Amino acid sequence: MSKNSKITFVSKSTAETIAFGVKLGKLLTNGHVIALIGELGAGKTTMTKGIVGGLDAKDKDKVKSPTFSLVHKYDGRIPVYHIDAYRLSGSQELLEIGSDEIVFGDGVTIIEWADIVPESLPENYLKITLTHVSEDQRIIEICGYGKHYEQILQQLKN
Amino acid sequence: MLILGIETSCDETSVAVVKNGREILSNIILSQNKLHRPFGGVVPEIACRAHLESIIGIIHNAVTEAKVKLADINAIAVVNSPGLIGALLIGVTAAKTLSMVFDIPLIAIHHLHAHIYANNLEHDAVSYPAISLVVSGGHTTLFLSEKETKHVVLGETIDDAAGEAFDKVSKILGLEYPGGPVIDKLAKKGNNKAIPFPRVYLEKNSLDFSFSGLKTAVLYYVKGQDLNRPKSTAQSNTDIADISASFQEAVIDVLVHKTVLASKRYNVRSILLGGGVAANSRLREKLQETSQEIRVPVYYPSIKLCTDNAAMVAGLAYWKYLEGDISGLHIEAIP
Repeated sequence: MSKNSKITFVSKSTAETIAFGVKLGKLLTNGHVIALIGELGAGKTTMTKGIVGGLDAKDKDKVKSPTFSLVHKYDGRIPVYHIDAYRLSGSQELLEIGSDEIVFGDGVTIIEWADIVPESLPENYLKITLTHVSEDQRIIEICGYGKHYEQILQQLKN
Repeated sequence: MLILGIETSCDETSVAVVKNGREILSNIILSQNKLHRPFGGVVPEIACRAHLESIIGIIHNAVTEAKVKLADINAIAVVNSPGLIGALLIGVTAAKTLSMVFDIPLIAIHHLHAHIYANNLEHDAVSYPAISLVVSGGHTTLFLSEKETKHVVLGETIDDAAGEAFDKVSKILGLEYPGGPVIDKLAKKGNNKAIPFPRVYLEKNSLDFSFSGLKTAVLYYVKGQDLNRPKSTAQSNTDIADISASFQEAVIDVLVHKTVLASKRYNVRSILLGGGVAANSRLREKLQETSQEIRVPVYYPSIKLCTDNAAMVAGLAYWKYLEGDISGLHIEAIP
């Protein structure tokens, strides 16, 4: 991975995390995959709210934890799939609910707890790791795997 | 009028026979709790396979226990939404098959509306309009209910469901799955004012809910500011009881506040509680107290009818049948 394919910043509030998500969402297009990694309460669903908003979903206020139902779909300017692997024990289970069709389909896919299902991820994707600093602050680290995602990182820096 | 109901939306496989929308002739519930316990939550593939293995036997048991024959059944009811897609499909396919083979009407039922109807199975005089609160592992939704079959959503969770917060806090505290019953029990030994966990009310007058921040607040309280500390070791039993009680009180304060707010706003004649979290003893107690203050009767189902069950499905279907709301074989499972 080249030195330029990673950025890190500190979010001081839920609002800042959402604002970053919106900025990222605006840069996304068909086939993009975002892997979200972080402990309970790190802000994965909050980040997703922003990304879905940046993708112009009319139902962006309906973004909520998919822990129970596993996959939520929102109608943005392109379809957005919001997957949660919290309850799963591995990639095979995600595969059995049809994750391949989603991840390799033509929408944007956001996967919470992506570290539980590493084999479900494509070769190229954007990885966002959220780490608790204090109750409000989070370190957000974004890595792009593949040239295309490195370009997105460059745009995020600007 | 005999209706056979089928419920497979999550991790309970249930089939019931209900007469005239009220009289439960049988209500067989097979819970998969034990199957999912090692994973700390429902694993969809396991749930789906378990439904498939047990559904035919449970249909047979429900008919036998009701002392009727399948040929005596007048209509089939099934939950087709919302739930886990693979799980719903098992029930919907079984229901379509029975409807086709016996040439009887098929009635699709909304899972949350059935939870509200659980109250009508046990209480005669539910007056409408009512405010209905359905709280479970997957849902936290307030409805304005105009009659048995008509419910309008007033508000819902914008992040985690209340039951999901119980499950996740239980995991943070190193307790078992499902989190609801164990926290309810521990909370009885704790001080619910020990820790001032946040109550999130959102914008003024909002009827939506948010429990994600509360979960994070518990996480920080338990682990301190150092999240790398090994979990649970520093907590005494008293601590865990106090955390459980204080967390539970924070959830319930918000649930009760919004339910009362909605009841006043729509000037309703009843409050109906439903869903797995409706089994929580403190929620029942507090809602009962508050409803007396505002002079609106509150109804909640017995514990068995709070969890997912097919009697509430077959019961509600009777009213839809009377209204001519028959679905037909084209119904789909909608997650």
